[in-house]
Amino acid sequence: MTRLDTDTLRRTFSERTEQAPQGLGMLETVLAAAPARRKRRRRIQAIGLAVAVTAAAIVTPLLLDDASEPPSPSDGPRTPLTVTATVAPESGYESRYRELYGGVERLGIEQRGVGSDRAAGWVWVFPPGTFDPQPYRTGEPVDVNGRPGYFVPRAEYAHDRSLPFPGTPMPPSTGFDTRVAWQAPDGRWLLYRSHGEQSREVALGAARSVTLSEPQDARGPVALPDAPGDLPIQGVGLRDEGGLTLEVSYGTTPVTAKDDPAWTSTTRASLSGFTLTVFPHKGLRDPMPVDEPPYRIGEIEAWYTESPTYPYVRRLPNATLPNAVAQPNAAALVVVAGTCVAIVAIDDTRQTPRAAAEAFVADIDFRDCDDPSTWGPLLR
Amino acid sequence: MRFEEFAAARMPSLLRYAFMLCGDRELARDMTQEVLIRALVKWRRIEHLDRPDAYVRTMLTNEFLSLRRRKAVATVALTYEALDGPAAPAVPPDDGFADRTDLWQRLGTLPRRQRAVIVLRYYEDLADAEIADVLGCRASTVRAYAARAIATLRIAIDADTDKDKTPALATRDGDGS
Repeated sequence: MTRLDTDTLRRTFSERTEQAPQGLGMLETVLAAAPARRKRRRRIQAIGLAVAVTAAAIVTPLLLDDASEPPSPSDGPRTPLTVTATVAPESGYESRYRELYGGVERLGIEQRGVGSDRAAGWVWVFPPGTFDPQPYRTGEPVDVNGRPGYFVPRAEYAHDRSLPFPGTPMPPSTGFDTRVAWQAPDGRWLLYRSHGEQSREVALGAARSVTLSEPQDARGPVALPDAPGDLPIQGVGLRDEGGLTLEVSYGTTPVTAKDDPAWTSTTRASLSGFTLTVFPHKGLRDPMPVDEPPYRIGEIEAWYTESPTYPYVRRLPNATLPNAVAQPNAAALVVVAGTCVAIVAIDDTRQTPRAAAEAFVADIDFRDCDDPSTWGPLLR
Repeated sequence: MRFEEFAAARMPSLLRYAFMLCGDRELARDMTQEVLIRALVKWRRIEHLDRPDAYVRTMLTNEFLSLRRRKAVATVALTYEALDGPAAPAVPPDDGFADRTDLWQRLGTLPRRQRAVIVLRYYEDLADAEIADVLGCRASTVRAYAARAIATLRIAIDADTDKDKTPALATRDGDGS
């Protein structure tokens, strides 16, 4: 038998570290269980307090402190202007779409160069504690870049029905897709959801193409000022289709990570703010609106309409249609600033009047929409 | 620091510590989960401490020490394989690993406070004064626990060694007669 000394004891423990359990899904369980525990704790404290009062005892400050509600771990969105997920260039996949909302990142992923029927899907990156992996645990255990995950070859769209769908009703739940869910070392969960069913190899390849890094500022062709009425940013969409289209949604109802992952930047979480869309001017067939001459906001040309059908916006490429749902009191401010076009699609002019929208646009620092080397962080 | 960030960063080390304490994967998971729930409930106070991780480690230690009082541990290891589980470390068998496996089993027979002291000292590398803080006792008590634990382990190891030697000696005696 080995002599019992310090080294032996240390080695005995260190050899066992690999046998320690993984915390897969534990954080979600903890977050789900905490509210009930708080309730029970408060009930016990209330009983204790009643007993103490009856006995004319003094309630200690510590007890009072305990009775206060700790902040919910999911209160409020994280900054929607940082990105952490990228697609590895050598992976055979690429990403041209990125959305950020409520602390969630979403990347559009496509196979590189395999024709029009190339496999594609979305990858969501959920902050710790905001994703329930339970439905995926019945899937096949897989390895995603050294991390344990689950592969579900055929999942119904209805899988997401329990999640709210902001702004519009839930789409019909027909069809199937292929999914991979896995957890990063820092507790974040990632979910790959294909467009239609995919082979195991393709779906896992897409999942494995995603790498996470330290948070970095999202970059684009504008530096944004504070919004009128200090409206918070709900979400940011970035589409790179031969030129970057940036879409920033402002509103009073923050989108949280618990909202439906099928949310896209063209589906507004609430119609109580406005959407700023910025894209390169090149490629537009005509000068901007043709129905009336432009006026000037400082150095930039501008058009303004309160027509609910957004005639100016409808002239733009499909990809740049922001909030195309016509509604009373809606309006649009369109400006051309150097190589950039910007549209402020206002949901309700009673909340965001024309003057406020014009002041907001005048305060935007426009960079060169055709030259990514001039781009910087989106917030000034 | 938000609770999620703390948990994401510290959960693996808490799980490993819990496993060293109790030697059972499922129980380690249960203990860690229970402690994290309680930590979340009073996170407002914990996050302002100098060392939230040390506080939660103490909670985990207390959870381990109170297990016997609250419930019997239902897990019964029938074989070494059952104890080691599917993730038994791949170490060459001629490297004293079998002996250390035996030592690992022996650690499981120690009284809980003694085992906690051994884990805190030789796995967490804490000084006796720090262990005393965790256990809420004096440093001299920690040293007494450690000495008693090591003495117990040595006696068990010596007994095993004697048992291993006995048949060989008997055979030699027999051959010589």
